[in-house]
Amino acid sequence: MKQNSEKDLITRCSKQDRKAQFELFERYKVALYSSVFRILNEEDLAHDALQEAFIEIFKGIKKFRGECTLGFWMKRIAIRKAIKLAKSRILFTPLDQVTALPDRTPLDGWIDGELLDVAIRELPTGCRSVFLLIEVEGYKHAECAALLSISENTSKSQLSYAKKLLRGKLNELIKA
Amino acid sequence: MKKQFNLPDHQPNSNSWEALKATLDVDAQLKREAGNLPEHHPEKNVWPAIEAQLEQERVRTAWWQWTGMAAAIAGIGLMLVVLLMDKKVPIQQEYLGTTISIQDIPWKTAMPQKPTPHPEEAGSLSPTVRQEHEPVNIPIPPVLLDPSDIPQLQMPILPVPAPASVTGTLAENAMNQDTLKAAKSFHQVSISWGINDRIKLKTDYAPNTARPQTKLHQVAKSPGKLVLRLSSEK
Repeated sequence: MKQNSEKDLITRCSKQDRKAQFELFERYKVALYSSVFRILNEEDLAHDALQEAFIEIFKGIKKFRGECTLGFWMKRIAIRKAIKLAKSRILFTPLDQVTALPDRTPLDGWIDGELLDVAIRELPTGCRSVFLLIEVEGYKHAECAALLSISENTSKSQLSYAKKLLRGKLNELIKA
Repeated sequence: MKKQFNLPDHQPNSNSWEALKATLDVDAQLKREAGNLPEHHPEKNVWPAIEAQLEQERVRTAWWQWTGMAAAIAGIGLMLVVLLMDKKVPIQQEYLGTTISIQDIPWKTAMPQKPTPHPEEAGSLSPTVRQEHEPVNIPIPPVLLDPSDIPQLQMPILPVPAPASVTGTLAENAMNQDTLKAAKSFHQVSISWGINDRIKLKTDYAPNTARPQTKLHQVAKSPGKLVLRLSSEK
């Protein structure tokens, strides 16, 4: 039923039906905005990215062939837009300058999504982007590396670095 | 709490605490909570901005479409006009009329005049086609030369071959005949009257086959006079 309605929505959107476009926007705006906001960590930029992403989605929806879900296809466009907007701001910390952190220390307590969200927003931009793309959005290292124009090894090391930093920050937040 | 029923107690596994502690692992917690991150909501003015931009795009696209169509129509119209104008130009009778001149051109010089066309030919609009077997009769006026301009020609003194000491051989006889033939004249004169303003005189003191052609001297332009100059290359 949902698939049928989604197909119908895509067909109507490809005919530039404004009502269908608004329906699609309402259905996916929160998911897309959340993704771009976490990457950019700035409301104005996130709104710009969301706007540009929806314009591109409405323009290119007739090319959507259904190889993946519509939500995944739309989110990929939005993430690409967000990375394009923040390209100059996404800086990767050189890991040879980072002091060694304990690896397998468990957390001092249990966390929830809210706490994790706060900890993620405090991460440096480079490793935050890698963590979000791989652990939250479900991309593989190769795709993440291609999106961020880095090597796969850098993607792996930045993910490891992000997890170490998160452990420290989450422990601080649990104790607070 | 008062027990209403005598139900038996159930003990958890001995490793329950260990299992619970294992959930404190960072990776496990991150994986679990990554899907539970809070949602962020965009502002309400995002859709009007998107709609305005879409409308702008639609207007721009429509403008380009109409402009393209107008340009195409204008181009087709221009091509039609050009084609129609081209059709008017080649009218056969007008084209033929320009080739035949009925007017008499007053010739003031002694230059050869073109034969006047026959009246029936001039009256008709068909082109004049000259047959190959018809002779071309162009009256050439006589050229009057001033006697002072005529150079005195002197025949070159040719060396007389010494009498052969040995006579009777066929080869020598043939050579003597060639020499005698060559001693007659080697002059080659080309003269033109007014058709080409240049008058050229070529002269050789040997057969063309025996010696390279001598240098040609161009006579200066002098309308009405014919000047002949002879020179020999030493």
